[in-house]
Amino acid sequence: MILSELLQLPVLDAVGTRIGVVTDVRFALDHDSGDAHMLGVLIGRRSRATFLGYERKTETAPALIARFLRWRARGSFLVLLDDVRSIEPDGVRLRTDYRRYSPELP
Amino acid sequence: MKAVLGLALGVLTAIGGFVDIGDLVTSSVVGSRFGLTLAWVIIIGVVGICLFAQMSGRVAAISGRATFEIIRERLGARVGFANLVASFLINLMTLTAEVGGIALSLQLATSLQPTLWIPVAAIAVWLVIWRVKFSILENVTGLLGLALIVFAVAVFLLHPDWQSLGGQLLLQSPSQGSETPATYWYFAIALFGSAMTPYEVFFFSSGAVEEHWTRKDLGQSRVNVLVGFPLGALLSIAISVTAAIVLLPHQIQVTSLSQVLLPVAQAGGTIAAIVALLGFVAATFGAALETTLSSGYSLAQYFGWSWGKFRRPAKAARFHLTMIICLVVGAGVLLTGVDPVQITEYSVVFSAIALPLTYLPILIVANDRDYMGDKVNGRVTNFFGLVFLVIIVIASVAAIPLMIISAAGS
Amino acid sequence: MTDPLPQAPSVDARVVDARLHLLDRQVLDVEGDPVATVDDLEIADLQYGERLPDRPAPTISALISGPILTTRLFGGRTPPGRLQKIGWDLVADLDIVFTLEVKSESLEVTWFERWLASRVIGRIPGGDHDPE
Repeated sequence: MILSELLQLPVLDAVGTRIGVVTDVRFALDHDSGDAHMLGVLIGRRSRATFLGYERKTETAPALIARFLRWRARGSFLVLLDDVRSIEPDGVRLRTDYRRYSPELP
Repeated sequence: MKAVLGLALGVLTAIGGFVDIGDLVTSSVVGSRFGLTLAWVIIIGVVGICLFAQMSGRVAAISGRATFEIIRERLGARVGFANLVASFLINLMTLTAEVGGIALSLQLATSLQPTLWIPVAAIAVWLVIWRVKFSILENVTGLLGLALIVFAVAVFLLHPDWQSLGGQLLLQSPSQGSETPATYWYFAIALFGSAMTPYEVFFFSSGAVEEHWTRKDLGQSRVNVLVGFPLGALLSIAISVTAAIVLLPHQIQVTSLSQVLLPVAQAGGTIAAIVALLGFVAATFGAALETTLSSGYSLAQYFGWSWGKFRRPAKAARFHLTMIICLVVGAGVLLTGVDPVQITEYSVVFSAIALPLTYLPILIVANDRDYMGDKVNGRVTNFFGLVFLVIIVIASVAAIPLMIISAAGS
Repeated sequence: MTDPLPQAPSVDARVVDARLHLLDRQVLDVEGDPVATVDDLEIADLQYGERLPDRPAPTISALISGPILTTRLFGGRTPPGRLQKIGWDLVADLDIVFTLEVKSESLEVTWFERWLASRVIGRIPGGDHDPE
């Protein structure tokens, strides 16, 4: 699969309610091997919500732009790969007991 | 001498923004119709371009990234592409106009038809880009462009009524209300847009990469910006002032490049006119180099191609092919007989898209520690950066309606 | 206002977001010459369908560049045969750009650049000399 097939897909919970779209995909880069393992997907209310990624970084300048973009990206969250039940061409389905994590980068 | 040559990048960049063929005529038109009542726009414009050119130069020196790479990285493929299309069209239209401008200037000097000069001008621009080192290119055109200082000298030789000029600066309209507000604001936006035209930051930041600037060169970048752009603005205002002194009282409307020369010829005779003509040739040639290179820079940086004059052409093949095609298209368009000066007027429309989409990513990346480390923007820079973004957006939104209402200032 | 969300469990690795840190980044070769821009990423071990637990996590297997860009700009699909890839194992370093451990000439994505250089640009007099 290629990344752009996953981006923008609608995300549904276990009973089929739409809870957002895939805005980004998070990876962990192994220090030694350099391999990039998928950790989870970032979900936002709309695909453009993560524009410039201010909600995930510690950068807060210029303050007005940062605050505005964080406000636009409110309600975004991270779901770990284990909480993804299936990926279909028309959407990503999550497990019943999926957990929402903060989208902030460590 | 070395210190003077070190400023060439800033001077050459500013020539493209303030005294290229479109601006040579527009400055004179504005002076002959509005006196100095629009000089404040150029002053605001020069502050804005200094601010953002310095940011783009700093980003290039610290991170090695030129402006269009940043635009693609921050805005993504789609929005970046919208900017690429708009910016590329501005580049192409301006480069076409500049090649025409070189031909017009050479026509004034030799009275040979411009159609004969168009292919010569286009080939000369290509040869310089193909064979001449970046540092020589910027030093020669930058220094020769300074011949336009003759316009500033002419202002003093004309012994103007300083009080009246000062009054015009303070917005006391010299004309008897023959110009409508829409026309006034159309020219205000055209002057502002041309002062901040995006190819200046493409060229300045890419030039910084061409010259391998690093953290050590931040001081040089700042001096380049603070000398180059105000000098460009000063030349532009000087052209306006000479037109305001000589042409405005006689209600002479500037429609051609030769009329821009009239006040200088009146003040300093043939020699001054010859110096001014030399300045025209150098400035239009410099602007042609700047816009041709910028078209290559922006395309190559968006698509990730190898670029730069510090590489031999075969090591940046797509970059060089882009510029060859642009020059062929530009020369071809000119041979159909269009007026080069009019072409630049329509690039204002595309500036409406390109200006905000160019300056926002620069401001964002200049704040990003991944790129800039400890050299991120300070609070004051960010404050003014935001103020100018707001002005840019307002100007962008207003540009097209004003162009229609005022029928492009006619 | 809802309660702030909990932080995700920490991992002993550098964490990046694909769109924010990888997509649309410049790729340089081992000598620092530009190669391409990252237009898309190929993810191995990720298919449509149920995700079974205990399966290994999908990994990025390649950077994709070239014709795929039109798909990203205007929609549609690029046939798999036309994907121009740079294997992830060729990536030597990643900061604000990707740096590869090979030369640009050895990669499929630069075929057009090489063709132009040898057939067109290199044949114009002076095309293969440093500027003076």
